Amino acid sequence: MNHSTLEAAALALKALLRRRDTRLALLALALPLSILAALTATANHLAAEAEALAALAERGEAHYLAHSETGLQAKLGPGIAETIRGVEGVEHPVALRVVEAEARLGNRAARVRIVGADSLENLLRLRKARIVEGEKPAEPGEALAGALLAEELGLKPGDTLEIAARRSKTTLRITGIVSSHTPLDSSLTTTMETAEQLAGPGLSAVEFKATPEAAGRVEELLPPGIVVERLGDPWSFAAGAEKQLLGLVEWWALTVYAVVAASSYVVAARLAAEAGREAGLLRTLGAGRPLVLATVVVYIGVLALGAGVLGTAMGLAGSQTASTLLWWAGAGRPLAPFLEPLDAARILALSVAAAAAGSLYPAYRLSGETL
Amino acid sequence: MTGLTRYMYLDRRRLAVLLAVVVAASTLAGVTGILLLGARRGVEAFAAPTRGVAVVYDTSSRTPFTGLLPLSLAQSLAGVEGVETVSPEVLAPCLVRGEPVFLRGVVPENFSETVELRIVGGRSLSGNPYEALAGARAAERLGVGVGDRILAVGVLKPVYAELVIVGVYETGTPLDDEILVHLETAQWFRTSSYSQVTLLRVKTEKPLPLGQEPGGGDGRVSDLAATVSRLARYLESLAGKTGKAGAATPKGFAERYVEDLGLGRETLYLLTLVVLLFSAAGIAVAVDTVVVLHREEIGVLRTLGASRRTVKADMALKLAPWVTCASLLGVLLAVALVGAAGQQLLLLSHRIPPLPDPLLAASTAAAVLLVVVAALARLRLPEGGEAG
Repeated sequence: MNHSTLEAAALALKALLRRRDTRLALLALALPLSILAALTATANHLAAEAEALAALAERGEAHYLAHSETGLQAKLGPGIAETIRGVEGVEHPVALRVVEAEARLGNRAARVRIVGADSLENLLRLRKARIVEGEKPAEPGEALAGALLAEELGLKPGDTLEIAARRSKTTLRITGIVSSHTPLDSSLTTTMETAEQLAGPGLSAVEFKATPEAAGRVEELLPPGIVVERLGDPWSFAAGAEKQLLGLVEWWALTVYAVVAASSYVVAARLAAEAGREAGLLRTLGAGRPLVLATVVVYIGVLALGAGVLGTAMGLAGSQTASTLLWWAGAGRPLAPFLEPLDAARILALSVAAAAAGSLYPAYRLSGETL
Repeated sequence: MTGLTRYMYLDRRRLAVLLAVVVAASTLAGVTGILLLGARRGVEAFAAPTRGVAVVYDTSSRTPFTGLLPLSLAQSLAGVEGVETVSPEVLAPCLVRGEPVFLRGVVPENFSETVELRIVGGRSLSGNPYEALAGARAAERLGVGVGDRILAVGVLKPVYAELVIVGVYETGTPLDDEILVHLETAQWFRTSSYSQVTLLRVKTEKPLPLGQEPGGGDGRVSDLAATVSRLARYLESLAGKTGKAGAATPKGFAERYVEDLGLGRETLYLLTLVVLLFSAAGIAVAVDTVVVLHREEIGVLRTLGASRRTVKADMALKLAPWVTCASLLGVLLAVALVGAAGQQLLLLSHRIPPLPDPLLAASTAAAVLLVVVAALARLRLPEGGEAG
């Protein structure tokens, strides 16, 4: 391949770009990309709004739970509770041991969860629980009955339950009834000593209140395999829902690129029909088949790149205009859609790739033309 | 019919350029329509749509899962003549293994009478509040099975509960994306008291008798709409004691919320067509290319005296069946794509179903045909003698 052949190919490319139908082809590729850009920009705005609201909500103190990644059945290692207590900003920490057992009162029985806490006061405070009858347990072997459990088994302060857990049996004297509108209402709440007597030493979880910064410090200090989860955090749910929405947009984007590929196929097929002589001339001038193929594919690629830029600009402007008009009409609120540089780069790259793929077959046919 | 009908001058291989774009554009419109309509149907999921079951809900709520009604209303409604079952339910969003999922708190005996639920693994709920039944799709998404334990973390309230999956169920509806628990279990995550629920579903064995107001009358009626109307009047008669309770069919329940968002059915079809029209330039280029590829044949026809209008009309007639079939194929491909995407297409943790919509397919095909005809109409055809 000599210099003049390359020059001829470059001239051919210029001629292709000056074709009459290049503008319509550009529009055909740009329009579907503009919707993709508009949708991506709007989704970005909604995500940014949600993050901003989440950041506002995160400033205050919140309720956290430290537990094993695998759940409450796995025991936390020794010293975890002390580690958490030692962090400045952590309030009302309570170590918990959850045991499953069968409880029997006379001829009534039920499967129950027994929650052992190293600080009943902190647990009741965290759960905003009220003792509606009786009093807190003062010693091992005593427990509070949750209001729902008490109703189911007909429990009252002074009753003694026979408890059979996997490893041992004991009796628990009910000292009071507690109501919290949490799972404590279906549990027996007792001291850590009682829970460990039933199930052996070890912690199931640690609950505490803290600021996000303090919770972050806790997480850094804990060994791998233990997670710190924020309770009552609607933004985590919103973030998950938003991820699902973005997944929808990504799937939808695949079909946009299919339209780009199909449109590129059409443009290249038209070239194959109309530019046979020009391609033959190039071959006569010494251009090999690969160079002719490359010239056509580069033409399509340049078209797709231009369409990507045009489509992105149209999409951004269009989404802003549409949201403004909807807001004026009272059907929405003002939005500020935007694209990250990575979003724009991805749209450009994928549209060029889709266009190149769509044009390959007609370009290959055209490259075989001779005079 | 034109005078050129008997002349088969369109080469099927050369039509591939047009058909490829039509299929791609129709697939894009189809996917758009299925996702939008599927999202709308997803809102119906909160009402657990079942034949013959009406929904009683909090009319002041802004979303389907944030309303609150008094549980005592279930007893009042159960006493209404013709009402067979009332299923009080609480919908509680939560996180399980970091994934958003909805817990639906139910009274198992009442719920199973209002929904055709098949246990495909394990067993149904017993009286233990720490048990859960996972919908088949929820189980797959979360990677759980019978016997597994999940830690459900509240998002509206600072609560958590370790639940044991005792069974997996299928209903063939969006319910399969949820986790069923006892009513009080879901109430821990959502309400501030055990006397509140999100909604009530009311099943009547026979339609409520016409003119028979709850408490008396006779006559015959009809259908779920009439049942809803009777329930609505009954609820009005309790005004002040029930808060703002209203009755609706599951579709009506969903429509109320999606209309508030400006996502009425007509708007969604319109949005789909707008997306299709954005591909119109590509279709126009393809039509132009088909004409270029057939310039010799068209040139011959023009030489033989056929007018431009006649040739264009004949081409439109000959292309119509191909374009229509290609468009319908595109919509079918869209259904297949959405189906293949499976659990990756979720909205508010409910899978978007790949349901083919005949109106969507018909409107897409009609719109594509219109674009093709419009593109043909504006084209300049080769003259006789320009061929070759």
